Amino acid sequence: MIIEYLRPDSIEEAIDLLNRQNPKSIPLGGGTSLSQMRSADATAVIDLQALGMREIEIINGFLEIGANVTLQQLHDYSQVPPAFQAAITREGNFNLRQMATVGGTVASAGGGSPFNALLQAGNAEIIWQPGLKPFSFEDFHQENQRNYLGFISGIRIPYTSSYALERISRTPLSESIICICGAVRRDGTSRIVITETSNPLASVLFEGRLNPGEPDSHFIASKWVGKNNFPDQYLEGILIELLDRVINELRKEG
Amino acid sequence: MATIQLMINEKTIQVECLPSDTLLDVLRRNGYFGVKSGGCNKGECGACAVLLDGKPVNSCCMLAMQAQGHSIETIEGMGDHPQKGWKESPGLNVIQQAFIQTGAIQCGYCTPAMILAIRSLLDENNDPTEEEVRKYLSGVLCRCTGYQKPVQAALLAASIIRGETEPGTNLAYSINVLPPYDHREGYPGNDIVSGDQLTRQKVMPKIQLPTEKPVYQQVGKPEPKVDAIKLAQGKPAFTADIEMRGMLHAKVLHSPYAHARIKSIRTNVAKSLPGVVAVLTWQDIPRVVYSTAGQSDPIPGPLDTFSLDNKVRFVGDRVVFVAAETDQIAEKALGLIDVEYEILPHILDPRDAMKPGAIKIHDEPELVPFADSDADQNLAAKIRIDIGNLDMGFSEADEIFEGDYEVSKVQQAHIEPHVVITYWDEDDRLVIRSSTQVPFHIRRVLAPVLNLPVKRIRVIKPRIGGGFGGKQEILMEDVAAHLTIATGRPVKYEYTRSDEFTSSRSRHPMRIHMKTGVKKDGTITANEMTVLSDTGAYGCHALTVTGNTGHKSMALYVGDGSYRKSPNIRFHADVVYTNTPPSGAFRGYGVPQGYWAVERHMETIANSLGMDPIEFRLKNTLRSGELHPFSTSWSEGREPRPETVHTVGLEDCVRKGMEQIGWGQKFGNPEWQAVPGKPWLRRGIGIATVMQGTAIPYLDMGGASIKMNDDGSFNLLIGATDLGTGSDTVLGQMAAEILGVPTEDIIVYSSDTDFTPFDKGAYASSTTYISGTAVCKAAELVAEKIRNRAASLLGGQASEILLREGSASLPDGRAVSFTDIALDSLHHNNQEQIMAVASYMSPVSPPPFAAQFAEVTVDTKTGELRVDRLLMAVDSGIIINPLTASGQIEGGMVQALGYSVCEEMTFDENGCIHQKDLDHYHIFRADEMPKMDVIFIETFEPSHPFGVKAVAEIPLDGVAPAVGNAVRNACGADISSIPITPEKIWGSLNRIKQ
Repeated sequence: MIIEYLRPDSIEEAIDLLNRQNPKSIPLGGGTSLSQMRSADATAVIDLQALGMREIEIINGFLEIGANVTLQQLHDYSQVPPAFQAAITREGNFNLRQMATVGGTVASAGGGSPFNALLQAGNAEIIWQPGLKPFSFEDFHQENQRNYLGFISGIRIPYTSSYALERISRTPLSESIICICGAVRRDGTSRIVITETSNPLASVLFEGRLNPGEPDSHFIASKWVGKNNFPDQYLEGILIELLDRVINELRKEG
Repeated sequence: MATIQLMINEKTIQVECLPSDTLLDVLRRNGYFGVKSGGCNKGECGACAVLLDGKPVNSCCMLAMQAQGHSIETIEGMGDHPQKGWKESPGLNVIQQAFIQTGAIQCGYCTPAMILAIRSLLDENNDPTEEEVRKYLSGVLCRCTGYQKPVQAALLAASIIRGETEPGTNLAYSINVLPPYDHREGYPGNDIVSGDQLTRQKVMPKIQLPTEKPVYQQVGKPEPKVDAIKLAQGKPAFTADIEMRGMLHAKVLHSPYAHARIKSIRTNVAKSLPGVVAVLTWQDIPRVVYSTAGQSDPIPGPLDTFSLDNKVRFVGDRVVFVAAETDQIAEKALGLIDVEYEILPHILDPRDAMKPGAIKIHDEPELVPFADSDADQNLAAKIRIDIGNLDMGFSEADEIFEGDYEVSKVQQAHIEPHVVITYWDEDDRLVIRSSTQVPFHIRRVLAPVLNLPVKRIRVIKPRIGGGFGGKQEILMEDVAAHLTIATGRPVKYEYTRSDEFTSSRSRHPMRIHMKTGVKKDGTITANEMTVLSDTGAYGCHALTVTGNTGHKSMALYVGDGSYRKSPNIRFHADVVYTNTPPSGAFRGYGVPQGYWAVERHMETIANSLGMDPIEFRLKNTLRSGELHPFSTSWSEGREPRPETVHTVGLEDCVRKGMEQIGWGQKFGNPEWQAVPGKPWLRRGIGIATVMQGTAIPYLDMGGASIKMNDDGSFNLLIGATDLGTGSDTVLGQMAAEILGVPTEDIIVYSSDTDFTPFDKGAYASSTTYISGTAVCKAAELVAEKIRNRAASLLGGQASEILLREGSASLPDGRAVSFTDIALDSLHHNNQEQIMAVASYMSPVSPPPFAAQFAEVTVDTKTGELRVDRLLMAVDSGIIINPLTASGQIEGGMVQALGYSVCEEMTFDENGCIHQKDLDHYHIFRADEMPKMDVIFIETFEPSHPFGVKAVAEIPLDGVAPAVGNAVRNACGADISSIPITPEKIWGSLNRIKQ
């Protein structure tokens, strides 16, 4: 139950509020995950909207995105990679994307989120206040699970990387049966991940260089299916197909 | 509570709110009822959208306090009714006008949100593409329109804003008249509608007129809906849009178990929670057995339900009712109730229900069976229909084809959840204000349940935010009524979106076996359907829905030659109880299930025989002048009476549909089927032919009352229930046609058990036909009185007087206005109220017919399916209003599309549903729609004054099999169950490869 709403004017004030022990205080982005906050616990929400963090800039080959940039604003930004546009349209309907922020999505959407999966594949950095400390996706989620004594102020995406997203669904906008995201990073290595709704992060399917004949989609798919104890011929079959498509797309882009 | 300032519609207002209050809560509490609730609180449906700093956002998932410092716009700030007395009105906004003129408003529940979304778009860009319009509309779910007309409205508004179309222009769109199909020319297949034809040029459907059709003034015109102006303004027209002093909020504790006996319930802690006013268990209220099905007396099904029972039969069944001062307190109280259950074995698979030793789901001694229902066997209904001699038919066949088909359980998903408000009026009569399709049935059925005489109950149906059969159920009115009786206070009970999935009704899932005997020349000699239908935990609509499955789908194919006079048809069905949420009425009422099996089966037979699938169908389908085969054998448990089908426009539907979709160029054309540069993609085209019914003969009755006012306008009072379809409008148009006035001179008031005549309600596609005939009869009686009085004023023969344009005139030109007639009758001479009441019950149920086409693209490597185009050519008799009728077809096709490819309710091993929201239960959005076309093939049905037949349900019937047949055409995948998912297509393709 939300018992207190506060809208700090400065980063310092926000951090002070989030560091209070009682009531438990959590940062509020767009609010589109409010329904998840309707637990019986007394909670204060610290609305970050007065703190700016609304810029999108390309700096030194990185796309730097303020945490309060909405998903729709990022989608409409002229230089956002197309794979990100595709991912954003799967993050909720048009109205939700007007409110949902990049920071809020990173913090709360979890491993089923195509947007998060793409960031994770591209090795995006999450910028954390206090201290403008950069985290990898994996490190952030480990840190974030411990407490909320701060907030995301932005993310940084390697802009020169190549990105690809492939998914299968019943209708163009229904939830994915499988969604695979991949990126070729500046150092020439690639990471391919698969969204996993039940996990905080997407699962890494492949990490390394896209050499001729590598990676082997059949091997990756059978490994993933085996790991998930999910002997489903269909999932394995389309996983192979989508992996091939992502790899081909990354090779083409790369 | 804190006081905050919000800037709403350019005015700063102070409001009281808690930190946890959403913007939706606060806006509605302060009278902004144009902001609707879809019950989700997660932004799934968008009915609650407002503009925040000019952008559409969902007010259910943002805190009111977040909105401080921002500009909020609601529909209340958009425009006003053009006639507001002496005060000058700004009139409606151009977008509101466009929504009205294009027929973009059906139930109107999501209309304010859609209008605001388009406002946001056009403020940025007054020359948007259709794609941009769809993007802006995609935040708002609409279950009625299929989005076609809202898109057209947006493009029209943009055109007006750009100055290309004059504001206020009379947009009486020209009818797109099609020439009749020339049977001598064979398949033309050349007149393909251009793919880039602007949607806004297609506001009106294409219509092929019958050879002889009278000239009408109002009938056949695209009149705006009579309720459109208020809906475009978001007026408080819906059930929940009122506040009452002292109103309590109801909640129900639902069962977490699929099957259990309640051993004890401890409510003390809940009762002691401040703000809790009443807690009711099964021990607190009368134990009266009834059926929740909203049907005429006697209910054609078992009486197997209690308001509260000492047993629960599905996860989501009722356990305890709570009324509290606020919704939150009521919710909290539910968590304080301690229930001890004795968990019983449960049945989830209908195939297990009748096995020896299966647990008995209904063991209550009070159960009243109907016909062959047998609770000992978990059998809610048993249907055995045999027409002709099936064994002889099979023995005469050259080949016999058998197949098994399956249809899933799906949800109506109307955007307005179920909602009711009950209160005692000043005469201590119980008023039930409900979002229902069946107000008169509610009054009759609930009277004994509440221990009140019928005369002490009044049921009012305001506007409904969609029903689709889900509100042909007496689902929740008793909850609020019991709590009003217990507390003496008004009570509001509103479902959440989650409740809609766990504790509402759905389409009956069925397993269907087909067996068909065919001669080598394609003549069907015998046709058999055997159905196992799952009614869930209660038997509401069990017999009639499943009976309809056979009655409509198995009646279409009678065979050819001598078989036409004596077809051999068998329809056997067992409708069984399981421990799943009850099935019930859902638009189409069992018929879509039947056609999935029949039309997939016919396609298979035609393919196997090497026959053209269309010619095979037309060789065997019912023709004009033939008996409806089932009319000789079955009538929902009543005495069957033979019925001749007089108008069958099916062949013209097929031919015209083929012509318009370019069937001849596409079917069997490998060049068209290939997608250049993407060899893994394959296109396909498919067809299904279908028929429905129009009302229930010798049962459904509707009444109408018409009275003349001082100014020559008329009040039309009807019991008929407009659930967004536009029935109030078409009934008004028919009255206007006969009375010789514009439709705007007919003031329609409907669905109030105290003030309007009886009507069975909105179901069975009956309103335009049954209630419409009642309106025509009443209007004829009023017209006769007007002619008589005009004759006395003018001095001529009443029989020579023509009523037209609000006056009565003689052939010699002498005329008297209706105003003068009204003043004379009410004030001057031999005073009388010119009025009449009439009712109608039909001895026949003339079927509408249709050909439904689908084009698809299949990814043969992943099984992913995309439906590219739907076209429906339909014979619904004469079309009273092309806008509302085509809106019914478009919206119905999209509902059917969801049923075909994505919608599905599934359960875990404990009977808990997997899909509890509109994220996981996906319904189509505006920006993922296929191209859609509607063609009306008009026939004049002689049993109706204006020649109409039904239109509302038939679009549900053929989409799924047409898509299934198109998938087969595309890639050979033969799918026997819906939804047609990528997994199933991939699996089928793999089996073909092996």
